[in-house]
Amino acid sequence: MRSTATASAVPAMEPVEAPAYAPARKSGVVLAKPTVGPTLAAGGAAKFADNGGPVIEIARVQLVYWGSAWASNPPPTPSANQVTGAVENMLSGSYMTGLAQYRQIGRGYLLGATVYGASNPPNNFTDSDVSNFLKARIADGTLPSLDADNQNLYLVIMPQGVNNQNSGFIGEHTYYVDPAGKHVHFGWITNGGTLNGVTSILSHELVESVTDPEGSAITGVAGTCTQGGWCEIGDVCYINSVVDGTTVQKYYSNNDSGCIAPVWPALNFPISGVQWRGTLPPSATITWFTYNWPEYYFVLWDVVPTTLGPGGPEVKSRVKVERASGAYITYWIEVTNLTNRQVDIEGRYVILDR
Amino acid sequence: MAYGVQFRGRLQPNQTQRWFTYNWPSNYDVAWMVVPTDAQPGGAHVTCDVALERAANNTFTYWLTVQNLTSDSFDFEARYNFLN
Repeated sequence: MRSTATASAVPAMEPVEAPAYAPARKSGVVLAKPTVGPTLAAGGAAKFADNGGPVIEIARVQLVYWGSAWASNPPPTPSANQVTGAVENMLSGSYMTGLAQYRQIGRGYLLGATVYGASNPPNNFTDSDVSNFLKARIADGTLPSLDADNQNLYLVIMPQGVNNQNSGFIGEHTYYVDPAGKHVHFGWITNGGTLNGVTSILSHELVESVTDPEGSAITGVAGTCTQGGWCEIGDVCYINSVVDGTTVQKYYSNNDSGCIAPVWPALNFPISGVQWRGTLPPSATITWFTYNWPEYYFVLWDVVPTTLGPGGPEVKSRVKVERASGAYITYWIEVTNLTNRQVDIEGRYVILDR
Repeated sequence: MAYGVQFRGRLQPNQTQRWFTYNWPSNYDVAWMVVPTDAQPGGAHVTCDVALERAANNTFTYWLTVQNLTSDSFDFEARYNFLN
């Protein structure tokens, strides 16, 4: 039923309300986080260090199916639609939640999926073949251009049978510099003819791209990797797992001293409680904030008076949202005392789902 | 309960914009939450008011007025959750 609803934009018709300038007060919460899969040896030193380079905090993933085979009838196995559906599961599910430990990277989302059959990738293609293809498709408007915050990640999926010039590589991510000097982050994924194979490689490139898009962010300390090139969190975890119905590769977690593919914790929703209590002077408006709420929780807020006041409304509240990082939300809750006497309140939350 | 993203949009600095989404079954109670998808630590970014239209005997249209509280533009997503 929900798929019947669509969104459209219309001009704003209501007056803009001014933001609150009341002092903020602080209360913190860290709720349960997803459990993780089996780990390797515990208690070891961190294998991966943050070198300070750029990361992609909330990836806007643009899938690109390059080659006429993707548009054939009947469609190939796997089809572009099958891969796109699996990637949507990967992005909206729990898989990326373990990346919060790396500079609070959060889950990404699917910006779009484009089948481009007007040219074919050459067999034994190179990184330059892919970057030149992307440059042309961005320039001609086939693909969206970079966003202001440079959170786009272009993932090019090859037709079955088309391989990289380096026979040992089945997927890779890197970047190129566009004429404006911006770094365009992209990856390519070869196709062995199975959905699970494609999503496994793609998941590897996804988590490595967001944590280390340019080889200068989250990389292994000396001795972590045995192969050449950038040493990244997927390079020590060539282990598949199924998360939210999609085959993915595990990635290394410093927090767990091992390879993880996070799954949602077994929680019984809704989860409710009192987050804070406070006092409002007569006719006052105060804004409180509460932070470190995982972005994947759907949270509702309610402020109720604990001071008896029959005869009329006592308080009203308004919730404002701050995306403090890729992984966490801060809620700002503005509470107004509608009476001319002091009122005690409590701020209640309900986590509906994740 | 079921939880999903109904639409994504972008707000210019200090902009208020209204969106509507229609054909929601009237026997469903729906909660809405608007979340920026650009991280900008430092203060509240967005607030949302929800208004309801009984468009037909069995359907609702939701009108979401989303307000950018900052002087920066950002992307956001509107999430819904069925309460029943």
